[in-house]
Amino acid sequence: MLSSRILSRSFFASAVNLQAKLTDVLIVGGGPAGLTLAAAIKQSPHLSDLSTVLVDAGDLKEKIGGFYHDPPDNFTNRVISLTPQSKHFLENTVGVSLMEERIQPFDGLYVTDGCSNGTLEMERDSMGFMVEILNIQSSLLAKLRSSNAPNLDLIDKTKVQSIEYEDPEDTKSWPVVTLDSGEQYKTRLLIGADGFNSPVRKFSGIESRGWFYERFGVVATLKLEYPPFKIRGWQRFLPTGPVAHLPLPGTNSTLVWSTTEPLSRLLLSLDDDVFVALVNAAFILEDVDLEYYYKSLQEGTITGEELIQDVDFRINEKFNSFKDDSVIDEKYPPKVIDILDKSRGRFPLKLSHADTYVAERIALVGDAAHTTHPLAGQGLNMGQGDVESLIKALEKARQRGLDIGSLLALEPYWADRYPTNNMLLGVVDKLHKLYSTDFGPLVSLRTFGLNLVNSLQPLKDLMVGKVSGPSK
Amino acid sequence: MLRTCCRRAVPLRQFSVLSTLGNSSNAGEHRAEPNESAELTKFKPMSDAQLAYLDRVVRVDQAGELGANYIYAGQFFVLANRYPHLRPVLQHMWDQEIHHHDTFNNLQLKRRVRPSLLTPLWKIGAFAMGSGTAFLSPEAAMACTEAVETVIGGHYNDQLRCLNNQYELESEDGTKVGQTVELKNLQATIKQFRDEELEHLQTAIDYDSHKAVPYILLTEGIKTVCRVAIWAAERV
Amino acid sequence: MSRVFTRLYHPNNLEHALPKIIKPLTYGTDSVQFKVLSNALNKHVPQYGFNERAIVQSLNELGMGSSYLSVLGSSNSPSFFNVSPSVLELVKFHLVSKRNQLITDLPLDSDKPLPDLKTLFLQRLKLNEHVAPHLSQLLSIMSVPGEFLASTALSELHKLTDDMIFYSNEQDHNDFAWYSKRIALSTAYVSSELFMAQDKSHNFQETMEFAQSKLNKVSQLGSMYNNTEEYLWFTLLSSINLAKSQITRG
Repeated sequence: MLSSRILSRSFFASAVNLQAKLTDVLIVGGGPAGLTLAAAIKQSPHLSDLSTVLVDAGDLKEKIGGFYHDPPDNFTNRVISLTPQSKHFLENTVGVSLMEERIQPFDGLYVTDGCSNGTLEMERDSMGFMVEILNIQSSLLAKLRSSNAPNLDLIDKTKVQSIEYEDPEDTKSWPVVTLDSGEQYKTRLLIGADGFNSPVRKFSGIESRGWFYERFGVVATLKLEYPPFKIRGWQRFLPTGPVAHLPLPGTNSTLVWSTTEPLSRLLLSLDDDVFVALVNAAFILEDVDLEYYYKSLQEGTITGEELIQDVDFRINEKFNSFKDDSVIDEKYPPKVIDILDKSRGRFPLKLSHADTYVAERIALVGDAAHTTHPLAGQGLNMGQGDVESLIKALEKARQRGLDIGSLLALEPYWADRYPTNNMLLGVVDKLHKLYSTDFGPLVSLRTFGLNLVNSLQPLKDLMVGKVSGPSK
Repeated sequence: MLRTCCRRAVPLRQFSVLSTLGNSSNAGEHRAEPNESAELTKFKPMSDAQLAYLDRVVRVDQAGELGANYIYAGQFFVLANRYPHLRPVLQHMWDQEIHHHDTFNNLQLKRRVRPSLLTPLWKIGAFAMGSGTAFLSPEAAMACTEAVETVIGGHYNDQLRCLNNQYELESEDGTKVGQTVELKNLQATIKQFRDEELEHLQTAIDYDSHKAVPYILLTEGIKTVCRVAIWAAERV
Repeated sequence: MSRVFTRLYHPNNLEHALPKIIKPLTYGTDSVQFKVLSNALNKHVPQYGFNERAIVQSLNELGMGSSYLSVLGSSNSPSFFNVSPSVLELVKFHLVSKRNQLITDLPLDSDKPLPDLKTLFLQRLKLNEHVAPHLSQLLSIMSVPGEFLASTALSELHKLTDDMIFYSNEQDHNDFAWYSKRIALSTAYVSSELFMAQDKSHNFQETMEFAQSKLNKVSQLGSMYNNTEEYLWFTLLSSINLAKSQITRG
């Protein structure tokens, strides 16, 4: 009697999901983290036989996949800096061949304080690589396609409609994902690689904590007058937020300007040539000049022409004050003459960190687990690190015969990555807070600190080593 | 001069770690403020002692519910991921405490009562107590709940007794003796909250609070802490 | 502190008779003392300042003998520098009546929006204009350490900031920020009044600008408090999560 009741209950539960397809791993999200994870699973000798499904709402196969074979001449405006570790992981462990001609290695970083003359110069060959996000995504898709791995399903242009537990009372049962195409997948391990507003994280009930920075990052693709003398990344910490000028192949470069909401709207509304003048001014002129320009533009008391002339005049005045012209190339980024049409955009900046990265049969990677300020260029690299660690944890679990969805198998990933991510998020956040003010004593203090670090080569080597991996 | 109390609310910065500590959207007093259509008797003004006591009631109850809110937050934070079967119970009790807290917050603003000066201390202490006992074991967390709810139940009973006995007001024309609708509402609110707290007490016992290992130590210690906190919140 | 922050519950006004006395004063609005003092404040203080002469002029104008002087403010204890109780009463009256005047014109019955905190603040400063030449005298009377400072001056200052926050559309707080906002606003008010005491500009333009910049700092303080609290909670919760993650290593 009891056994028949149990039988009928489980029968009823599974009758609902009779048409659900079974799969080992279901990855929600086809961004860099999700695609890297899929490729890494198929590349790993211990995990390649797992049936894997990847779901994304965008057009992966044609639009993004097509980038690899038929790339546009110009550079897209979503560019990140890849650390050597991440690049090594992608190219050697996962076996991806990125589009090398669209990658720009840079040999140093030049960081300045916008309120004083604090300077930090870090140099190392191939400290990092500027790569377009589309480059990474399309190269991963090409690898997945060419490797012709069995048991891999790439479902694009499909949204996830709902996620439920197979047995609603039992949170250890397998999750069932329903897509808006009507298909259902019952999966042993559900991976959330679906960004900041992750539906998988919401389903798991894992809380994410943090705050909005009330800043927006303005991006644009820039065109330079001459190829740069020194190929390095330039960053200047203005009180409203850091402005970064990063090199791309040839006479191109990319801009990431984090600033307040009203200013970001202003920057997006300007004409191209006025915007270019402001970008040049942001690195060379004083903050008071910039405040004056913002105010005049907002109140409409200055025309574009006048602003461009004023900026040119002041920049020339500053350059003429140097006795030695070679200093200019040393201290300031190359002059920007134009931006790519319609390449300006903005996105809100926030800090978030999930309480835990794993739950029974669920794991979170990438932006679903943590987001950060772009000032240190670590966001995507943290995601790559997550994937690397998760693969190791899954491989170890597989070798020991564990269920890859069990908490026992997944927890080592959380234990490995949480401290590192926590530290990086904390440091970046504190840097942002430190440099967001123009309060006199604090500026002197931070300038002193920055110059001190600049003069201590071993400390700089340590910092670079921490972020970019050991030097070869 | 009826002061309409719906201020234009400045939105709390969403997605802040504080917002995860729960803000229920439909908080309010137990019943709505008396409206123009009701036949209201005008009463003589209350004495200074009566007003001071009401001030104290709102302050200590606000601090108490803040403490309860943060205790449950601490317990939930530690236990929810590890013990999924406890999650609905903890969530339900926590939600009720959030509602209680919001009610007293609104009352504090409406009646211009000053909140307790030691509020940051209550926040940290309550969170530490909740997460600390949860770290010990789920049974210890339930024992903590049991102790806190016992003290709060008694405390609310004392308040109700006082409000019932010492607040016989005379109407303006001297004909009637009774209580204002506002006082009646306050008593009804406290009564309902007391019932819910006693329900939590029963729930904690049902979930094995008596099985907690240093049971006497935990409960008596927490009861003492609560009584000291209540005494302090009334005055400071 | 308890005397500065002595608060009494404010019950709703539909069910309780409106008090005929404005609280710290002990006489009603239609009493003789009220008439004498308001006459003194409006007509004679601008000319003679906050001293007995102004009160005596007012008494004579209303046809009362100057011996009445000893009755006014007889409940005040004299301050250190021989300021007579009646002058102290005049000062108390000035503070209370100005505070009351600030809120009498507000649209409290209708659904119209309440004014900004900035508006109320500047309005209260403007109410000082008619006694502006004697502001430094007023402030020096108020700031003498003693009974008057603690029980009247500071408590009136606190009541003023409390009223300004309550009767504006400023979001009020339920925690320590309640105190920090009021203290910040009180400081801003006192410094603005001090500035006004020596301001010679036309229409007190500079005072108003000074007050504006002080007010901006007050709201900055509020957001700084919130940010700090948020940051501390985040750090606490992340540390606990960090500990939990390392425990799982076993």
